[in-house]
Amino acid sequence: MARLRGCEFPSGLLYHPEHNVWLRAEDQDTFSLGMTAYAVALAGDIVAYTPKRAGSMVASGRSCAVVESSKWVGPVKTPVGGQVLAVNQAAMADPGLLNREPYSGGWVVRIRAQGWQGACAGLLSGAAALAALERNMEADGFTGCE
Amino acid sequence: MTCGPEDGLSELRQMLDRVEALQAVPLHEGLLRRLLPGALTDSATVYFHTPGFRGFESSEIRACGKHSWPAVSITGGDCELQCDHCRAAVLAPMTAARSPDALWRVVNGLVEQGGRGMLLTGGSNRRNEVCYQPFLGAIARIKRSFPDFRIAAHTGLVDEDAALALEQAGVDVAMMDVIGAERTLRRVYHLKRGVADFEASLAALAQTAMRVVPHVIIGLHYGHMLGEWQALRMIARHRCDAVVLVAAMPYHASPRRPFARPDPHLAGAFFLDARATLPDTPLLLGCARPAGLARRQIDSYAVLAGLSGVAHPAEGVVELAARLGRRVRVSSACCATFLLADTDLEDRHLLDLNLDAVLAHEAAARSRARPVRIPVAAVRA
Repeated sequence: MARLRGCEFPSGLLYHPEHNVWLRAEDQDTFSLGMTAYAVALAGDIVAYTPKRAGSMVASGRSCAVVESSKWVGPVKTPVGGQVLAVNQAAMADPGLLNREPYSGGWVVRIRAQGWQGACAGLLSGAAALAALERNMEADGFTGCE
Repeated sequence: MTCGPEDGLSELRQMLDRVEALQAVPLHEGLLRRLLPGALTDSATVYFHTPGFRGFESSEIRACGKHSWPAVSITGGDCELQCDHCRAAVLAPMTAARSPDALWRVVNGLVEQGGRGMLLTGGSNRRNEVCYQPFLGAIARIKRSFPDFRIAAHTGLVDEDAALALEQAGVDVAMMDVIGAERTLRRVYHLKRGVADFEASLAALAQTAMRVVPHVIIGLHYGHMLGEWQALRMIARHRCDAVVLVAAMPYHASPRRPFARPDPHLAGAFFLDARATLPDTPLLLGCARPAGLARRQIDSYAVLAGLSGVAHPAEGVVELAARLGRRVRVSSACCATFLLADTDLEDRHLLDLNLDAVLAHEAAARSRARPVRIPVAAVRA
């Protein structure tokens, strides 16, 4: 587990720093996606999580869910397109899960990827991911996770 | 082929189903029937506003940056009133400018970064007054130095002198929450002032040259409606340039005095009541309202009811407006500047929806269903 400005970034995950999300391969062509601890810290206390419906298609770079807090409303974008297989019912009932457990109970969607092998090549892990995230934190003037 | 209200309702249902983001959003059938006449015939422009005091991005509207129309609080996060629905929570994320010098510096920074205006507000004292007096000189200096920089101010309760002072300082738009129930003032606001004080403030603002844009908060009595209709009647008695409708957000209330989420369908019905009470006044859906499904319902009703503007629209609502034949415009300015929203406040580049494709799809769908009854306007963002 790495830490940047008080935010945790588990090793073993793939990150897309621009969309501020993590991805975890579940099997050959399926992955889970969630917001990073940094992303949920920027959002503040999340009061609503509205995913795309299971079964719907989502394109690369487009929204797979909408998240709302008192200071932000915006999309969670997936860097890899595909079909939404599952959404987080527990988080729909308790959106604060995204804040409290961004890498476990607060996952956003599970997607069957279109061309996972090719698409995941654009994702970062390890030191490269941390360096990119740190650059984004600097650009955002991010003071840190509480 | 049938013809009449059922036919129109079916047409509206089919149109709603064509908006993917709204497909799972339940809307009240009886209310849809009431909305139908205006929904399918109103071709007026609808403005979608994305002021930067709340970060916003959707699949239809791009993010516009936090320096575009921020909210600035002259008391920072402090408010003596501590109303049960807010408890100063809405002030917390705002830019603080606790002194006239700080306000001047904040605005200079905004102008340097291309800012064109701001929402100016602050916490109240226990009489629901925002103490602008020490800031009037700074506001006047700002308007002298940057005459095109728009200031929309939440005034709180004012007397005639205070209203005149804001006008003379150069405030462009005066906004105040109009509350029509004594019980709400006592219990939610803990305020020892009456409904008449709110109407007197509105009258004082209406006598100035400022644009006057009162707000009505739906569900202000712990999530339930009580004085909202009286507020509309109060507004109808004065010169107002537009009215902003918002809905109470239940997130900031204390567990000891909780707020229910206002019923989205009642909010939709209230839009029609407001339209009937204020037939010649532009109605706008402001930033505050419950999140998630309720927001998609309320925003859908707002467009169907023919409101002139929606701030921070829910996913699918811009597309719905286009399919209804409305002229779609996007502005990063505060919705209370509606009447100031001339071309320099329009931000066409923020629209991230292919309106031509939407309109072509809608026209094709209608032609397949039956001979087109409602022409779809040729809209260009």
